[in-house]
Amino acid sequence: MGLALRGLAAHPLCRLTRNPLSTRGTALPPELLISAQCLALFILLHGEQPFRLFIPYVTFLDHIGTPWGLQATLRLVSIIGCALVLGTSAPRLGCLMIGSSFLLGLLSCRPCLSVAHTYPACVFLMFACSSRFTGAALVRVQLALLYIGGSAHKALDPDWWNGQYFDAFMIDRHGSALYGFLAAQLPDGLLSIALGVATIAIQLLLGVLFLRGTSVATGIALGLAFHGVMVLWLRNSFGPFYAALTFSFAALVRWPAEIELGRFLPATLFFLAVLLAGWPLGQSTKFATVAVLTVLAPVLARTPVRYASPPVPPTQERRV
Amino acid sequence: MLGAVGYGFLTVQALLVAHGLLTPANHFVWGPHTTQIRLEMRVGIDGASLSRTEAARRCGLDSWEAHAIENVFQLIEQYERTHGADESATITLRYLRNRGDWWVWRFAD
Repeated sequence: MGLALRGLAAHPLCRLTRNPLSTRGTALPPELLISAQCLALFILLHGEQPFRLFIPYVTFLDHIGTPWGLQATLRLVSIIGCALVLGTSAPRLGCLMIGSSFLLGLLSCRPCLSVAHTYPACVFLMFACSSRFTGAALVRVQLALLYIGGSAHKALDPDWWNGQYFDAFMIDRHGSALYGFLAAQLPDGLLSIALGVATIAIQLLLGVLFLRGTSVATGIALGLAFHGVMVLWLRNSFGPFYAALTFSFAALVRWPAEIELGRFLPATLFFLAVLLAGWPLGQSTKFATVAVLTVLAPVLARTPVRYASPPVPPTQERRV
Repeated sequence: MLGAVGYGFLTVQALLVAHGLLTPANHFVWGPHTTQIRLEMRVGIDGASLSRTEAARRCGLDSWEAHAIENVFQLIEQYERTHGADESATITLRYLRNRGDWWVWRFAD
Protein backbone atom coordinates (compact mmCIF):
# COMPACT_ATOMS: atom_id res chain seq x y z
CA MET A 1 0.00 0.00 0.00
CA GLY A 2 2.78 2.36 1.02
CA LEU A 3 4.72 1.49 -2.09
CA ALA A 4 1.65 2.10 -4.26
CA LEU A 5 1.11 5.50 -2.66
CA ARG A 6 4.77 6.38 -3.11
CA GLY A 7 4.51 5.34 -6.75
CA LEU A 8 1.41 7.49 -7.20
CA ALA A 9 3.14 10.48 -5.61
CA ALA A 10 6.00 10.12 -8.07
CA HIS A 11 3.59 10.32 -11.02
CA PRO A 12 4.20 13.49 -13.10
CA LEU A 13 0.58 14.58 -12.66
CA CYS A 14 0.83 14.36 -8.86
CA ARG A 15 4.10 16.28 -8.91
CA LEU A 16 2.30 19.02 -10.85
CA THR A 17 -0.23 19.58 -8.06
CA ARG A 18 0.49 22.09 -5.32
CA ASN A 19 -1.02 23.07 -2.01
CA PRO A 20 -3.09 26.19 -2.96
CA LEU A 21 -2.13 27.81 0.36
CA SER A 22 1.60 27.45 -0.26
CA THR A 23 3.45 30.18 -2.13
CA ARG A 24 6.44 27.98 -2.92
CA GLY A 25 7.28 25.71 -5.81
CA THR A 26 6.30 28.00 -8.69
CA ALA A 27 8.13 30.44 -10.95
CA LEU A 28 5.99 33.33 -9.68
CA PRO A 29 6.92 35.50 -6.69
CA PRO A 30 4.49 34.97 -3.77
CA GLU A 31 2.66 38.32 -4.15
CA LEU A 32 1.98 37.68 -7.85
CA LEU A 33 0.93 34.11 -7.19
CA ILE A 34 -1.53 35.14 -4.45
CA SER A 35 -2.98 37.91 -6.63
CA ALA A 36 -3.34 35.56 -9.61
CA GLN A 37 -5.03 32.97 -7.40
CA CYS A 38 -7.44 35.54 -5.96
CA LEU A 39 -8.36 36.85 -9.41
CA ALA A 40 -8.78 33.32 -10.81
CA LEU A 41 -11.03 32.40 -7.89
CA PHE A 42 -13.04 35.60 -8.35
CA ILE A 43 -13.55 34.83 -12.04
CA LEU A 44 -14.57 31.25 -11.30
CA LEU A 45 -17.06 32.23 -8.59
CA HIS A 46 -18.54 35.14 -10.52
CA GLY A 47 -18.68 33.23 -13.81
CA GLU A 48 -17.04 36.22 -15.51
CA GLN A 49 -16.46 34.85 -18.99
CA PRO A 50 -17.01 37.22 -21.91
CA PHE A 51 -17.27 34.57 -24.60
CA ARG A 52 -19.68 35.03 -27.45
CA LEU A 53 -19.15 34.84 -31.19
CA PHE A 54 -21.01 37.79 -32.70
CA ILE A 55 -19.68 40.35 -35.23
CA PRO A 56 -16.03 39.57 -34.40
CA TYR A 57 -13.12 41.99 -34.76
CA VAL A 58 -11.21 39.19 -36.43
CA THR A 59 -13.61 38.24 -39.21
CA PHE A 60 -12.16 34.80 -39.90
CA LEU A 61 -13.58 33.69 -36.52
CA ASP A 62 -16.99 33.86 -38.20
CA HIS A 63 -15.92 31.02 -40.46
CA ILE A 64 -14.38 28.57 -37.98
CA GLY A 65 -16.78 26.32 -36.15
CA THR A 66 -20.03 27.38 -34.54
CA PRO A 67 -20.65 30.19 -32.03
CA TRP A 68 -21.49 27.55 -29.44
CA GLY A 69 -18.28 25.61 -30.19
CA LEU A 70 -16.06 28.67 -29.75
CA GLN A 71 -17.87 29.71 -26.58
CA ALA A 72 -17.60 26.24 -25.04
CA THR A 73 -13.92 25.87 -26.00
CA LEU A 74 -12.91 29.24 -24.56
CA ARG A 75 -14.92 28.61 -21.41
CA LEU A 76 -13.21 25.24 -20.94
CA VAL A 77 -9.74 26.71 -21.55
CA SER A 78 -10.47 29.46 -19.03
CA ILE A 79 -11.70 27.01 -16.36
CA ILE A 80 -8.70 24.70 -16.86
CA GLY A 81 -6.51 27.82 -16.59
CA CYS A 82 -8.13 28.73 -13.26
CA ALA A 83 -7.50 25.19 -11.96
CA LEU A 84 -3.85 25.39 -13.02
CA VAL A 85 -3.43 28.74 -11.25
CA LEU A 86 -5.14 27.57 -8.08
CA GLY A 87 -3.64 24.16 -7.47
CA THR A 88 -0.61 23.36 -9.58
CA SER A 89 3.01 24.33 -9.92
CA ALA A 90 2.28 25.74 -13.40
CA PRO A 91 0.29 28.89 -12.54
CA ARG A 92 1.87 30.87 -15.37
CA LEU A 93 0.49 28.44 -17.93
CA GLY A 94 -2.91 28.85 -16.26
CA CYS A 95 -2.63 32.65 -16.41
CA LEU A 96 -1.73 32.41 -20.10
CA MET A 97 -4.79 30.25 -20.75
CA ILE A 98 -7.18 32.57 -18.88
CA GLY A 99 -5.71 35.76 -20.40
CA SER A 100 -5.67 34.37 -23.94
CA SER A 101 -9.20 32.97 -23.74
CA PHE A 102 -10.52 36.29 -22.39
CA LEU A 103 -8.72 38.25 -25.10
CA LEU A 104 -9.90 35.91 -27.87
CA GLY A 105 -13.41 36.09 -26.41
CA LEU A 106 -13.31 39.89 -26.65
CA LEU A 107 -11.90 39.81 -30.17
CA SER A 108 -14.72 37.51 -31.24
CA CYS A 109 -17.47 39.93 -30.24
CA ARG A 110 -17.42 43.60 -31.26
CA PRO A 111 -20.44 44.65 -29.13
CA CYS A 112 -18.80 43.02 -26.09
CA LEU A 113 -15.88 45.52 -26.07
CA SER A 114 -15.33 46.18 -22.40
CA VAL A 115 -12.35 47.53 -20.50
CA ALA A 116 -13.78 45.74 -17.46
CA HIS A 117 -12.86 42.43 -19.14
CA THR A 118 -9.90 43.57 -21.25
CA TYR A 119 -8.02 44.68 -18.14
CA PRO A 120 -8.19 41.30 -16.31
CA ALA A 121 -7.16 39.60 -19.57
CA CYS A 122 -4.06 41.80 -19.82
CA VAL A 123 -3.23 41.37 -16.12
CA PHE A 124 -3.36 37.58 -16.49
CA LEU A 125 -1.03 37.83 -19.50
CA MET A 126 1.33 39.99 -17.42
CA PHE A 127 1.26 37.38 -14.62
CA ALA A 128 2.04 34.73 -17.25
CA CYS A 129 5.11 36.66 -18.42
CA SER A 130 6.35 37.49 -14.91
CA SER A 131 8.99 35.61 -12.96
CA ARG A 132 11.04 35.98 -9.79
CA PHE A 133 13.46 38.01 -11.91
CA THR A 134 10.94 40.51 -13.33
CA GLY A 135 8.99 40.74 -10.05
CA ALA A 136 5.84 42.82 -10.36
CA ALA A 137 7.37 45.24 -12.89
CA LEU A 138 5.11 44.12 -15.76
CA VAL A 139 1.93 44.53 -13.68
CA ARG A 140 3.16 47.95 -12.55
CA VAL A 141 3.74 49.12 -16.14
CA GLN A 142 0.35 47.66 -17.13
CA LEU A 143 -1.28 49.83 -14.47
CA ALA A 144 0.69 52.88 -15.66
CA LEU A 145 -0.47 52.29 -19.24
CA LEU A 146 -4.09 51.93 -18.16
CA TYR A 147 -4.05 55.27 -16.32
CA ILE A 148 -1.95 57.23 -18.82
CA GLY A 149 -4.15 55.98 -21.69
CA GLY A 150 -7.32 56.88 -19.80
CA SER A 151 -6.03 60.31 -18.84
CA ALA A 152 -4.79 61.15 -22.36
CA HIS A 153 -8.14 60.26 -23.98
CA LYS A 154 -10.04 62.36 -21.48
CA ALA A 155 -7.64 65.32 -21.68
CA LEU A 156 -8.14 65.61 -25.46
CA ASP A 157 -11.93 65.76 -25.14
CA PRO A 158 -13.31 69.30 -24.50
CA ASP A 159 -16.37 67.84 -22.75
CA TRP A 160 -14.17 66.73 -19.86
CA TRP A 161 -13.05 70.34 -19.32
CA ASN A 162 -16.41 72.09 -19.78
CA GLY A 163 -18.43 69.77 -17.52
CA GLN A 164 -20.63 68.24 -20.24
CA TYR A 165 -19.27 64.75 -19.68
CA PHE A 166 -19.90 64.41 -15.96
CA ASP A 167 -23.44 65.81 -16.20
CA ALA A 168 -24.27 63.28 -18.93
CA PHE A 169 -22.58 60.43 -17.04
CA MET A 170 -23.97 61.04 -13.55
CA ILE A 171 -27.39 62.54 -14.27
CA ASP A 172 -28.50 61.29 -17.70
CA ARG A 173 -26.99 57.82 -17.57
CA HIS A 174 -26.87 56.89 -13.88
CA GLY A 175 -29.52 59.21 -12.47
CA SER A 176 -27.40 59.96 -9.39
CA ALA A 177 -29.56 61.88 -6.92
CA LEU A 178 -26.53 62.72 -4.76
CA TYR A 179 -24.72 64.24 -7.74
CA GLY A 180 -27.82 66.24 -8.68
CA PHE A 181 -28.13 67.52 -5.10
CA LEU A 182 -24.45 68.52 -4.84
CA ALA A 183 -24.47 70.16 -8.28
CA ALA A 184 -27.52 72.23 -7.26
CA GLN A 185 -25.74 73.53 -4.14
CA LEU A 186 -22.73 74.80 -6.11
CA PRO A 187 -22.40 77.45 -8.84
CA ASP A 188 -23.57 76.23 -12.24
CA GLY A 189 -21.15 73.71 -13.80
CA LEU A 190 -18.61 73.88 -10.97
CA LEU A 191 -19.04 70.29 -9.75
CA SER A 192 -18.92 68.72 -13.22
CA ILE A 193 -15.88 70.76 -14.28
CA ALA A 194 -14.09 70.04 -10.98
CA LEU A 195 -14.75 66.29 -11.25
CA GLY A 196 -13.66 66.19 -14.89
CA VAL A 197 -10.40 68.03 -14.25
CA ALA A 198 -9.75 66.03 -11.06
CA THR A 199 -10.25 62.71 -12.88
CA ILE A 200 -7.78 63.68 -15.62
CA ALA A 201 -5.22 64.86 -13.04
CA ILE A 202 -5.61 61.83 -10.74
CA GLN A 203 -5.31 59.33 -13.59
CA LEU A 204 -2.24 61.11 -14.94
CA LEU A 205 -0.69 61.17 -11.46
CA LEU A 206 -1.45 57.46 -10.96
CA GLY A 207 0.14 56.67 -14.33
CA VAL A 208 3.30 58.60 -13.45
CA LEU A 209 3.52 57.10 -9.94
CA PHE A 210 3.26 53.54 -11.25
CA LEU A 211 5.58 54.18 -14.20
CA ARG A 212 8.32 55.69 -12.04
CA GLY A 213 7.93 52.90 -9.49
CA THR A 214 9.40 54.95 -6.65
CA SER A 215 6.10 55.90 -4.97
CA VAL A 216 4.05 52.77 -5.54
CA ALA A 217 2.56 52.91 -2.03
CA THR A 218 1.12 56.37 -2.70
CA GLY A 219 -0.17 55.12 -6.05
CA ILE A 220 -1.95 52.18 -4.41
CA ALA A 221 -3.52 54.39 -1.74
CA LEU A 222 -4.65 56.97 -4.30
CA GLY A 223 -5.94 54.27 -6.66
CA LEU A 224 -7.96 52.56 -3.93
CA ALA A 225 -9.48 55.87 -2.85
CA PHE A 226 -10.22 56.98 -6.44
CA HIS A 227 -11.91 53.76 -7.53
CA GLY A 228 -13.51 53.14 -4.14
CA VAL A 229 -15.34 56.49 -4.27
CA MET A 230 -16.59 55.72 -7.79
CA VAL A 231 -17.74 52.19 -6.85
CA LEU A 232 -19.56 53.45 -3.77
CA TRP A 233 -21.11 56.44 -5.52
CA LEU A 234 -22.46 54.43 -8.45
CA ARG A 235 -22.91 51.20 -6.46
CA ASN A 236 -21.32 49.41 -9.37
CA SER A 237 -17.98 47.60 -9.41
CA PHE A 238 -18.02 47.25 -13.22
CA GLY A 239 -17.86 43.45 -13.47
CA PRO A 240 -14.39 42.16 -12.68
CA PHE A 241 -12.74 45.59 -13.14
CA TYR A 242 -12.53 46.74 -9.52
CA ALA A 243 -11.43 43.27 -8.37
CA ALA A 244 -8.75 43.06 -11.09
CA LEU A 245 -7.46 46.49 -10.12
CA THR A 246 -7.27 45.77 -6.41
CA PHE A 247 -5.57 42.41 -7.05
CA SER A 248 -3.08 44.24 -9.33
CA PHE A 249 -2.37 46.64 -6.48
CA ALA A 250 -1.93 43.65 -4.17
CA ALA A 251 0.61 42.17 -6.60
CA LEU A 252 2.78 45.24 -6.01
CA VAL A 253 2.94 44.67 -2.25
CA ARG A 254 5.98 42.51 -1.60
CA TRP A 255 5.07 39.46 0.43
CA PRO A 256 7.45 39.19 3.42
CA ALA A 257 10.11 36.49 3.01
CA GLU A 258 9.98 35.82 6.75
CA ILE A 259 7.14 36.03 9.20
CA GLU A 260 7.94 39.26 11.01
CA LEU A 261 4.86 40.75 12.61
CA GLY A 262 5.73 44.30 11.52
CA ARG A 263 5.72 43.32 7.86
CA PHE A 264 3.59 40.21 7.78
CA LEU A 265 0.54 41.61 9.55
CA PRO A 266 -0.06 44.69 7.35
CA ALA A 267 0.54 42.62 4.21
CA THR A 268 -1.91 39.95 5.38
CA LEU A 269 -4.52 42.54 6.38
CA PHE A 270 -4.12 44.30 3.05
CA PHE A 271 -4.58 41.07 1.09
CA LEU A 272 -7.58 40.12 3.21
CA ALA A 273 -9.23 43.52 2.71
CA VAL A 274 -8.62 43.38 -1.03
CA LEU A 275 -9.94 39.86 -1.15
CA LEU A 276 -13.10 40.80 0.73
CA ALA A 277 -13.69 43.88 -1.43
CA GLY A 278 -13.64 41.77 -4.57
CA TRP A 279 -15.47 38.83 -3.09
CA PRO A 280 -18.95 37.67 -4.14
CA LEU A 281 -20.52 38.44 -0.78
CA GLY A 282 -23.84 40.19 -0.51
CA GLN A 283 -23.82 43.63 -2.13
CA SER A 284 -24.04 45.48 1.21
CA THR A 285 -21.12 43.57 2.75
CA LYS A 286 -19.11 44.08 -0.39
CA PHE A 287 -19.73 47.81 -0.53
CA ALA A 288 -19.02 48.11 3.21
CA THR A 289 -15.62 46.47 2.66
CA VAL A 290 -14.92 48.72 -0.30
CA ALA A 291 -15.78 51.67 1.95
CA VAL A 292 -13.37 50.49 4.67
CA LEU A 293 -10.63 49.93 2.08
CA THR A 294 -11.25 53.37 0.60
CA VAL A 295 -11.11 55.09 3.97
CA LEU A 296 -8.01 53.13 4.99
CA ALA A 297 -6.27 53.80 1.68
CA PRO A 298 -4.21 56.74 2.99
CA VAL A 299 -3.06 54.61 5.93
CA LEU A 300 -1.71 51.98 3.54
CA ALA A 301 0.83 54.44 2.26
CA ARG A 302 2.35 54.51 5.75
CA THR A 303 2.45 50.78 6.47
CA PRO A 304 5.88 49.23 6.90
CA VAL A 305 5.21 46.81 4.03
CA ARG A 306 7.85 46.92 1.33
CA TYR A 307 6.45 47.63 -2.09
CA ALA A 308 7.67 45.99 -5.23
CA SER A 309 10.78 47.79 -6.36
CA PRO A 310 13.05 47.09 -9.33
CA PRO A 311 13.58 43.33 -9.82
CA VAL A 312 16.05 41.50 -7.62
CA PRO A 313 18.22 38.93 -9.45
CA PRO A 314 17.64 35.41 -8.06
CA THR A 315 21.32 35.03 -7.04
CA GLN A 316 21.20 38.19 -4.95
CA GLU A 317 17.94 37.01 -3.39
CA ARG A 318 19.60 33.76 -2.31
CA ARG A 319 22.54 35.59 -0.77
CA VAL A 320 20.12 37.64 1.38
CA MET B 1 12.60 35.75 -22.43
CA LEU B 2 9.00 35.74 -21.14
CA GLY B 3 9.64 39.16 -19.60
CA ALA B 4 10.58 40.46 -23.07
CA VAL B 5 7.32 39.03 -24.43
CA GLY B 6 5.47 40.89 -21.67
CA TYR B 7 7.18 44.17 -22.50
CA GLY B 8 6.43 43.53 -26.19
CA PHE B 9 2.73 43.14 -25.36
CA LEU B 10 2.83 46.38 -23.35
CA THR B 11 4.47 48.15 -26.31
CA VAL B 12 1.65 46.97 -28.59
CA GLN B 13 -0.85 48.38 -26.09
CA ALA B 14 1.03 51.71 -26.00
CA LEU B 15 0.92 51.86 -29.81
CA LEU B 16 -2.83 51.14 -29.73
CA VAL B 17 -3.31 53.98 -27.23
CA ALA B 18 -1.34 56.35 -29.49
CA HIS B 19 -3.32 55.18 -32.54
CA GLY B 20 -6.58 55.68 -30.64
CA LEU B 21 -5.61 59.27 -29.86
CA LEU B 22 -5.16 60.00 -33.55
CA THR B 23 -8.27 58.26 -34.90
CA PRO B 24 -11.96 58.75 -34.06
CA ALA B 25 -12.71 55.06 -33.38
CA ASN B 26 -11.86 53.78 -29.93
CA HIS B 27 -11.03 50.05 -29.65
CA PHE B 28 -8.69 48.53 -27.02
CA VAL B 29 -7.17 51.93 -26.19
CA TRP B 30 -7.67 52.15 -22.41
CA GLY B 31 -10.23 54.87 -22.86
CA PRO B 32 -13.26 53.52 -20.97
CA HIS B 33 -16.23 55.80 -20.38
CA THR B 34 -14.48 58.64 -22.17
CA THR B 35 -17.78 59.65 -23.69
CA GLN B 36 -21.46 58.88 -23.12
CA ILE B 37 -23.58 58.49 -26.23
CA ARG B 38 -27.32 58.00 -26.20
CA LEU B 39 -28.56 55.95 -29.15
CA GLU B 40 -31.93 55.66 -30.86
CA MET B 41 -31.93 53.28 -33.76
CA ARG B 42 -34.61 52.66 -36.36
CA VAL B 43 -34.38 49.71 -38.70
CA GLY B 44 -36.54 49.19 -41.74
CA ILE B 45 -36.65 45.82 -43.49
CA ASP B 46 -38.85 45.33 -46.57
CA GLY B 47 -40.97 48.34 -45.70
CA ALA B 48 -41.64 47.23 -42.10
CA SER B 49 -39.85 48.82 -39.16
CA LEU B 50 -38.57 47.05 -36.06
CA SER B 51 -39.26 48.36 -32.58
CA ARG B 52 -36.43 50.37 -30.97
CA THR B 53 -35.49 47.49 -28.68
CA GLU B 54 -35.48 44.95 -31.51
CA ALA B 55 -33.48 47.33 -33.69
CA ALA B 56 -30.81 47.85 -31.03
CA ARG B 57 -30.64 44.16 -30.09
CA ARG B 58 -30.18 43.18 -33.72
CA CYS B 59 -26.60 44.48 -33.61
CA GLY B 60 -26.08 43.78 -29.89
CA LEU B 61 -26.32 47.47 -29.03
CA ASP B 62 -27.60 49.06 -25.86
CA SER B 63 -29.27 52.48 -25.66
CA TRP B 64 -25.93 53.84 -24.36
CA GLU B 65 -22.42 53.59 -25.79
CA ALA B 66 -19.41 54.49 -23.64
CA HIS B 67 -16.59 54.48 -26.18
CA ALA B 68 -16.94 56.40 -29.46
CA ILE B 69 -19.77 56.81 -31.96
CA GLU B 70 -17.42 55.62 -34.73
CA ASN B 71 -17.34 52.23 -32.96
CA VAL B 72 -21.12 52.03 -33.41
CA PHE B 73 -20.93 53.01 -37.09
CA GLN B 74 -18.31 50.32 -37.75
CA LEU B 75 -20.34 47.75 -35.82
CA ILE B 76 -23.53 48.42 -37.79
CA GLU B 77 -21.68 48.45 -41.12
CA GLN B 78 -19.99 45.11 -40.34
CA TYR B 79 -23.29 43.56 -39.23
CA GLU B 80 -25.18 44.74 -42.31
CA ARG B 81 -22.44 43.48 -44.64
CA THR B 82 -22.22 40.04 -42.97
CA HIS B 83 -25.03 38.68 -40.78
CA GLY B 84 -27.69 41.07 -42.05
CA ALA B 85 -26.58 41.17 -45.70
CA ASP B 86 -29.65 39.26 -46.91
CA GLU B 87 -32.12 41.61 -45.22
CA SER B 88 -31.05 44.83 -47.05
CA ALA B 89 -32.03 46.87 -44.01
CA THR B 90 -32.23 50.65 -43.87
CA ILE B 91 -30.76 52.06 -40.66
CA THR B 92 -31.40 55.46 -39.17
CA LEU B 93 -29.38 56.18 -36.06
CA ARG B 94 -30.05 59.26 -33.92
CA TYR B 95 -27.38 59.89 -31.35
CA LEU B 96 -26.51 62.41 -28.67
CA ARG B 97 -22.90 62.74 -27.50
CA ASN B 98 -22.69 63.75 -23.82
CA ARG B 99 -25.00 66.78 -23.69
CA GLY B 100 -24.45 68.07 -27.20
CA ASP B 101 -26.89 68.14 -30.11
CA TRP B 102 -28.73 65.21 -31.66
CA TRP B 103 -27.17 63.92 -34.87
CA VAL B 104 -28.49 61.51 -37.47
CA TRP B 105 -26.49 58.83 -39.31
CA ARG B 106 -27.94 56.60 -42.00
CA PHE B 107 -26.95 53.29 -43.50
CA ALA B 108 -28.62 51.90 -46.59
CA ASP B 109 -27.31 48.89 -48.50
